Amino acid sequence: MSGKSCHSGHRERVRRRYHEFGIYSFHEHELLELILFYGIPLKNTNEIAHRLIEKFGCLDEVLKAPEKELTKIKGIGASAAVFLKTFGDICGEYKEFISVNQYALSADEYVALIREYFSDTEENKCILFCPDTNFRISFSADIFLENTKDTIPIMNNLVKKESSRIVVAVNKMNSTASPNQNDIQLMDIISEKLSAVGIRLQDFLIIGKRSAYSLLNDSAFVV
Amino acid sequence: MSKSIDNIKAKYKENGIGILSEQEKTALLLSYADKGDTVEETAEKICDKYGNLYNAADCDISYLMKECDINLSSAVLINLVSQVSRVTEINDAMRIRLNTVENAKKFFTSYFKGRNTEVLAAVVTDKNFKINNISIISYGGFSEVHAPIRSIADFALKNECKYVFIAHNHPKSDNKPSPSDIMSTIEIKNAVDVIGIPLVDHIITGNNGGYSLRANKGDIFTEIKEYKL
Repeated sequence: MSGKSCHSGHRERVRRRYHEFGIYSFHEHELLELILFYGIPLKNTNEIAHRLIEKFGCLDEVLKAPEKELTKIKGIGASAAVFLKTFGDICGEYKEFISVNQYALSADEYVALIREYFSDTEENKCILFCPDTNFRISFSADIFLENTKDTIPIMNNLVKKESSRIVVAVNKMNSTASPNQNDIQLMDIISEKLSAVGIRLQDFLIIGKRSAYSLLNDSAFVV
Repeated sequence: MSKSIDNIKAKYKENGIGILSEQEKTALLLSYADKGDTVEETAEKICDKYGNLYNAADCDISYLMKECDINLSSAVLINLVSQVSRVTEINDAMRIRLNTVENAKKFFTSYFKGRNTEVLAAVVTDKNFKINNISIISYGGFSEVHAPIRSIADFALKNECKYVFIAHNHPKSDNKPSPSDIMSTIEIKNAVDVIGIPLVDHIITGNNGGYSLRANKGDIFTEIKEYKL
């Protein structure tokens, strides 16, 4: 067996394991081994991960370590050190992002955001939007109307994101904001699924060319 | 690897991550998973769909793969950003000994960082206030959900601890406790007293920091000399 296929098979298995079982199924050095896959092609990164943890104490300190210190570890070259620094910097920004973005958008604000998003999206496409986090998932109504398996990852995401309230919007920007029977049915189905996992449907909007209609509140407004 | 990615790497090297646009950051990260020429296009798609890399990082991997037409390797790398960040933040905070009110406030403020919904958490410690375990007991906080006393007692007993703390967050308001927060604390304190595990404190975090119920309403609690106010 070639070295390349040996390591690439192992790496694929590790990624699948991460995908299936999540981060908490990994010991710290295994997590670092996985991260190192992206900075070090082809080599076995398990021993390198152990050396890094031994030197710096924990994963967080590895990701904060200067490049110069990282390259002193056997197996970490200049490009691997740059990758670890890049990844560490991005994680650092993520922590700032989640601590700063604790805001709730007003109705005017989220309608404006949704309209902007819909301007590049095809007619009748829908989104589930969380005003607390600016988190959104786009989908086709059929997924819920036909109760396909694709609703499961959508609901998983909403629960994982700890969304407490959701706005659903349907793109009808090329026409008027008039609901039809499908829209009503979609609202009922989504509302039931959200309610089952303790998430509130805050609003169900039809976004038209010049106005929007709130199906949940039975009111129209100009945008 | 495209010239444009080389330019982004050079820009990052010279000026740091803060100078990069959302799309550039995404492309920079993706370039480590995808050596092809479509990295920038994929980065643009991700930013269009999710607003930025950090929202995408919170997404389910399967969903990310399907919606952005990326492979497992790229999706895992993006997802690792959020998961590793959260785990390292919590692991860092777990080293704090909860032997003082300030330490308890610091820990729970860190623990609840980034949460946009109310949650109720319980922490159990050994006799030196070193954290043994932490668990989210319920979502919705005290005002929305009747504090699950049985769950807290179960959690405390199963973890062979000396002390228990509870905490909840007010993501969009200040840390002032409501009358029901105080009543529920008394109920929980009475319940864990019965099983011999003292409730040390109830910390509430809000947009103005942490609040210690013991420091402010100490008569609710049994005295614990080792816990410094």
